[in-house]
Amino acid sequence: MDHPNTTEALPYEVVSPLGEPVAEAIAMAPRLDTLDGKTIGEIWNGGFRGDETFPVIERLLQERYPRVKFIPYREFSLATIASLHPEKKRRTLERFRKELQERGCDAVITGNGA
Amino acid sequence: MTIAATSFLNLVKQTGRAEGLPELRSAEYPGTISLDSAGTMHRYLREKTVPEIIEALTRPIEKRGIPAGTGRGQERIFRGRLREVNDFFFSRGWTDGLAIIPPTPNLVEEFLQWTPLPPDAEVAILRPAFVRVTPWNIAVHGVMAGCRPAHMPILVAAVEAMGDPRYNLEQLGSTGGWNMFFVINGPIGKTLGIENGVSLVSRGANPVIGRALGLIRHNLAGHRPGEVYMGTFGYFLPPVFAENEEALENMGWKPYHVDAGYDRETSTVTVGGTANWGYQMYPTGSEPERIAQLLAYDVARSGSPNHSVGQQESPRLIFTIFMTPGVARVFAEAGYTKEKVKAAIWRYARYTLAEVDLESYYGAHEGQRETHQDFLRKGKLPERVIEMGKLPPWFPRVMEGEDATIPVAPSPNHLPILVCGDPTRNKSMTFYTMYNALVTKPVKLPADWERRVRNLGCREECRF
Repeated sequence: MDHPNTTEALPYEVVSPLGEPVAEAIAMAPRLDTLDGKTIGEIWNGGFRGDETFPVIERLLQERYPRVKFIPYREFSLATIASLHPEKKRRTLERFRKELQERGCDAVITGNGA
Repeated sequence: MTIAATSFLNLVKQTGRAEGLPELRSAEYPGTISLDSAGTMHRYLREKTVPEIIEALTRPIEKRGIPAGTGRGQERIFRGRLREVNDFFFSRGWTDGLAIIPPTPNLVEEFLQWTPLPPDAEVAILRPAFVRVTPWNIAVHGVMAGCRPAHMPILVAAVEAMGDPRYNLEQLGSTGGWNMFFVINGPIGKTLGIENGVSLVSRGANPVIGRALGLIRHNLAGHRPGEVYMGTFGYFLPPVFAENEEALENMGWKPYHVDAGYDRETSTVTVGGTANWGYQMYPTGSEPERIAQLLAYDVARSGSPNHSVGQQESPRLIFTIFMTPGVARVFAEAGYTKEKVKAAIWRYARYTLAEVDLESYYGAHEGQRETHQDFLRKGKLPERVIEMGKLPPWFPRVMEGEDATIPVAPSPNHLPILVCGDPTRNKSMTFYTMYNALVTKPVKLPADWERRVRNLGCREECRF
């Protein structure tokens, strides 16, 4: 069987290898004018030394914004890999949304350097 | 906002866009968090990360919408000679680094003739890019990879399997270098010359099919190596296998797709995941229990005590065992069914608590330094799975208490068996994943498949 490519005329006119993304745009919350007096929540996945870095981040931010408040990672659920599996992801994100709202968070810091 | 290591900054941006966030903000941690000293970590946080946290939370958002869609892939985007087309695709990050066949509309149309689905039907939504993948998109990649149009039904079934949430394609971007593999069962394997014997992943149609599916992952699922697909040491071409169904039938065992609930005459594609292309064991002799112990040793060695200890409830902790027909025959001739072999291997495939402690404390991927006692205390490790006296008698015991072990996985069902490879060799190999269930989909053939195959001019089976 001939390879189909041998029948193509030159030069080649080609189509895109990309497809149609279906995510709908989500409006992002406006940024804060200052962190002073604001409440920041900490969401952790249980790894990559977040228990060591979050306290340092808190201290460094408080040096600049003395009235900034933190809700530490210990007071939220853990964002484990298993909790973000496709069938659980929506429920997990909804739980975090609720926890953050209940604690009156103005902003949230997630991830931890990996 | 999200804190990310330097190489993960683009991942944050891409993930945000895929989820619909125009400008997910990040702050850089410029070191290696699991290895840095407290002093180094403090310096990085002070000098780099915290200033960027402040900026991320206070600088006004400028972008209001996500970038316009890339279209459905049917637009003519470039015109040029072979080298020019390749340079164009390579410069945009649309290839795997190897030369492609230019995806012209005519070639794409040829592929579309081999599926009963319309060109714009939705086959799957592939994550993490959330791209709606159509037969047209799949055909483009079949052309690029060097597939033949007749491979189209296999590609479509494979993409459908990749998009199944049980498979969990999204999390394959993790740093362990997790790869996809595909198993083709049923009559289509023989019809299209999918290899099941010696060097199978490197022969016949197997490599081009694997390449096409790797390109689909890359361009449509959004798993671009080093950007969103974060394997520390990278990836190999997704391997494609067929089972040796003739050998299976001769020994009275069922092929994998029949185990998965399909009729023997139904062609299927199964997708699995693996972090490794393992060392191949040489099972020797004709004592089935001894061979089961050897395979169990290989199973345990291919995985991670640290993963198994926290995943005793997970449906995605899978050790896929490949064995050559000769090895399977030793079991079959001793009266073992496939189920009995899986149970025997599972019985012996265990991690000692000393191994769990060693890896979880010093080698935990997230650097959290836990022992099995911590896992028990936190409820991550059910106490019931710890048992004494389960190791094979020959297992080297070098530390006191090593006889206390946990199983590598919750049950024998997490150890699927595939029979393939050089039928003259005594070999086995294990693929390990903590992220992926095996997902099987039936192949959808065009109504005139038989006629089309006859017209290909192949006598008994195609070799192209």
